[in-house]
Amino acid sequence: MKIVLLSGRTTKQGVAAEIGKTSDDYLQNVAVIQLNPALMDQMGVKDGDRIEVKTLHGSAVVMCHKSDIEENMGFIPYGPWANLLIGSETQGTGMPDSKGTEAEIEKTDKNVESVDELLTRIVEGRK
Amino acid sequence: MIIRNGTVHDPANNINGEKMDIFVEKGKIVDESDLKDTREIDASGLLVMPGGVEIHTHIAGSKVNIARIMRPEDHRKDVVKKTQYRRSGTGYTVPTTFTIGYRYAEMGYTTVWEAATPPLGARHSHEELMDIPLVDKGIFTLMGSNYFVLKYTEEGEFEKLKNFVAWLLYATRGYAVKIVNPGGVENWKWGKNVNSLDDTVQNFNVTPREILKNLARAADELHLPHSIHIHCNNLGSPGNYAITKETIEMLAPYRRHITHIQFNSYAGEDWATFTSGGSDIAAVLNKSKNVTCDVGQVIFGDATTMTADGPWQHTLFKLSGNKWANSDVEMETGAGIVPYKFKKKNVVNAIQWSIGLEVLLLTKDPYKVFLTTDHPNAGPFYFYPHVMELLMSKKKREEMIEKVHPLVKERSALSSIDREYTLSDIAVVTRAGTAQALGMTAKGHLGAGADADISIYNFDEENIQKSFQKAAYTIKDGVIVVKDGNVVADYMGRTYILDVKADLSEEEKRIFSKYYTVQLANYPVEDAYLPRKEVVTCA
Amino acid sequence: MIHENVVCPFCGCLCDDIVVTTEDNQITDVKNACAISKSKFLNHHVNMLESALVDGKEVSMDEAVDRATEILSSADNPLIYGLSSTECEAQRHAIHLAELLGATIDQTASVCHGPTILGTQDAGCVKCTLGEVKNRADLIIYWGCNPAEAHIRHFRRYSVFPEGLFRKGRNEREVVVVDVRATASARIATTFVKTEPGTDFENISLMRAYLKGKRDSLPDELRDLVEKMKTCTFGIIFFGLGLTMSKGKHLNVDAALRLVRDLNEFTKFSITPMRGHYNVTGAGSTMAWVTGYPFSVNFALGYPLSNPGEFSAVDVLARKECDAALIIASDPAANFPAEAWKHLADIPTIVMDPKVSLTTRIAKVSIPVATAGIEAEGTAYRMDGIPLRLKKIVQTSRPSDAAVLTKMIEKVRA
Repeated sequence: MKIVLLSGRTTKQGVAAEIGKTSDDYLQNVAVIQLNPALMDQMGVKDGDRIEVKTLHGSAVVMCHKSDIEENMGFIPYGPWANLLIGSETQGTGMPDSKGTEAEIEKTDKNVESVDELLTRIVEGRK
Repeated sequence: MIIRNGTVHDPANNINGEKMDIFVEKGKIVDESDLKDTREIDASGLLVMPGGVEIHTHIAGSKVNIARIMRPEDHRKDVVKKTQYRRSGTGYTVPTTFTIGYRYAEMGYTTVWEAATPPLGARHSHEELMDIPLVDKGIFTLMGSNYFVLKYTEEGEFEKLKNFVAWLLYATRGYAVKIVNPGGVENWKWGKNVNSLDDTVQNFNVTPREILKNLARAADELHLPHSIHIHCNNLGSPGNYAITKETIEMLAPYRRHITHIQFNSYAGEDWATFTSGGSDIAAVLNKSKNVTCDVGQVIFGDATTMTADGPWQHTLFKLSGNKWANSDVEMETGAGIVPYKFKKKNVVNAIQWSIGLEVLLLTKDPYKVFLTTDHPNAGPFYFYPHVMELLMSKKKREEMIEKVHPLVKERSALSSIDREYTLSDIAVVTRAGTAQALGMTAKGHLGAGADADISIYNFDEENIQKSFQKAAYTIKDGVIVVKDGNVVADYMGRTYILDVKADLSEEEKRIFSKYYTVQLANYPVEDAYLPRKEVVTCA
Repeated sequence: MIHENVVCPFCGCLCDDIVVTTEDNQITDVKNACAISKSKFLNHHVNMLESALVDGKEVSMDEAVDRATEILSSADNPLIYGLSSTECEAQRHAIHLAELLGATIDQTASVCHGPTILGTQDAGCVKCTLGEVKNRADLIIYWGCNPAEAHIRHFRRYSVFPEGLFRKGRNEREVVVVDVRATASARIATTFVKTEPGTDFENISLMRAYLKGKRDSLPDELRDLVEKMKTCTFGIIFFGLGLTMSKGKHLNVDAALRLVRDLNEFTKFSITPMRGHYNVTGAGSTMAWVTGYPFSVNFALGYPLSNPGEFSAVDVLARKECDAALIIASDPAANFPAEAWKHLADIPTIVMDPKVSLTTRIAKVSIPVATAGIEAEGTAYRMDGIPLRLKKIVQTSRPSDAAVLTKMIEKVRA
């Protein structure tokens, strides 16, 4: 399914980040994607299911949360998972394209990576 | 330290070009009998003056920094490399803090005043002052459209007003009452202005005339060392010399300082008939007592205009088409910033240029009129030596007049003025006079007891500008901070504050907590921002 | 012990009315704070960096600072990055260190309101302090921002709900939210205007054209909005990363800044960015007064140069131009695109942070520091530029950012 990917702050993300980014709270509240229920029905996923999100720049597995967002959109809170999906091109501004990236989403059985797994994958992957 | 055999201009002590020695001990000027430190500077053939005292400049705080942020193009053409003693930085019209300190000191200036601090931003101004090295410094506190000032003026509660003024100076660690377009800045918060001394401020039944009189009286009764410091109404507009004249006259007998008076000395009815009102203003200054002014001399080239006069800046934005920043501050004041370029062949700019010189040359008593460029509104401060040259040389003025718009000859008296400043006149309009107007008794002269703030120049009559651009020595508190025009020491000057102390009433505290967005307890500037404070007694 | 009027070191609201209770040097209660602020105060000691680390091994503070300084001094092109979640003295020292090293220094604005700065450099900015909004505004527009979740007390303290001098409360104010999705903030709005992602520049440009008399092709919702803007008494736009991070970036902001300029022909109108980190405004301020530029500065030539896109951290990392990095009070491994931050794992990276972060996980040197605003004092600048004094309410043996940076400067100069 194609969506426009948005990212931003949430209160839960803010609260959890202050506890610590290696905490379970952070994982539970940041490794998530908010989707419209109608879209979720179409995809056959329910709250808490895992979704793989892919863009030109990378992929991330996150948990699905119901939200009143538009059907053609998905929202992932700022954090390392959202940052797997955006590129580093800034068009001379310093600012990457953090909002409005096109993404492909599908249901997955893969696990949500922990912060450490994610770091290891990127750090190992670069070699 | 002995400064041996210099040609000394210390007009405050009636020393005008005498060959003599100056003695320095522990940061002060002393009599020879009190001297212990016998290191010598050979000043033979050199000109010795008190360190320069800047009375009006915009060097620190929110509007200056907005201008820095807004103008990268300004900095790129003027870069300053780090050295062993000097931090790096940039110019041009809005230099970085360190660069400001260095450039003043390189010119022989040792005291500078940031002329317009919004009270709520006072902490910011002081924090920037901490990064302005070498010179002594301080701030003036904006009050002309302050809520409590308007309220007490409306209610006729003068004692409450006076107490509030004292409290605000204490809370901001300010030194003087600054007034910008009184009432007009409050009206600008609704997109409006005032145009006469008797216009009414919206929601407050008060007029600029009443605001000015009350604040002038408060400053006098509080025995503040400096008078109220006024940026008049109608600044920048053709015909505004009339309101300036009226402001000076109606405020008698109170002390008053009119700042950057060039911008308020315009005759004519519109831009087409724009004419100098400089002679009229000089005439008013000549016959008035207890009045001083600084000129805000125009320097051709780039400027960045910045002032609490928000409505004028909006007008200038529309006139110039340049980018525009505005910054209104709750309960207190506002600000506007617009880049500007003064052009020799622009008739208005050329007349503006002539007016500052006219006022400086036609005002007979140099203790009444001081050299400023209202940095960076009429141009950068480090062009003072250029203005000094024009003041001292009719020939140089004539050369300039030939280069500017020809209508200057018709619409300004400048070309008919023969007066040439003496070196002592220069010392008055940049040192002795400013120090006196600021009530800084240890500045602006070289008598025993004065701070050992001294500038020494290699003076060449044929090259006046060059002579004053880079001091042979600048000595701050007895420390050589500049030698041969280069910074040779890292030194922190003092911040001047007043010994005023007042409390807010319970009612004032209630109003504060309701209509400000910060807690009263977090409002007064802490001592952490005054690494070397000098407390001046009001008496 | 009860500490009143504490300044919250979380977001750009910089609320200064927090009441914090400490018992035995532990924070036990926090009043007046939002959920995130509470979490910050109550959890500041959780997941702390317990010790200084070099290559994952515990070392003394002095050893860590020595190692950090060696790395930075021997690098050809070091990067210093972060700054927005610490106080201004630390920022000033960081800039000084960058100057001494000939380093590149950038702050987190480059990935939040950097485009706002670029827009301001082109158009200027007509702004006001938050109290002006509280006292005067009758039209409040939140555009591309979601204060209900990011600046939680903004409505209550500064804009929608409080009693002001000339506005009694919510019912004397019209509130509009413009966004691509119906956020929690949209719920408090009088009107929610939904736009398509990536259309801000054209929408705002059409609104500007309308104001100049070219009235075709403006959708009804936007026409109603611009009419409201024209006819209000005192209007304000608060905007967020919805403008700066989406297609157009600085052009979106530039257009919005120009729209507000235009509106001042009709009425009083201001615009203010919703700055995220509590002292990101201060980071821009200190960099501007020391270097002339608020972000993306390089000192390789002995004087400051600025060029976003060239000296901005994401670009410097993505192009692998830096050969060492000092990260102060920030977590690029969490906040940057993975494509950019992974270079930090290839070079010796030094992190100064009170807490374990993603970046400390990949760093060569980690230096535990006091949390500014809780364990260390200093200045912070609110989103509207108002400076406030952060307080030290908990004692700690950890040095402040400023103290560590001072040591580094001494060592580099020695």
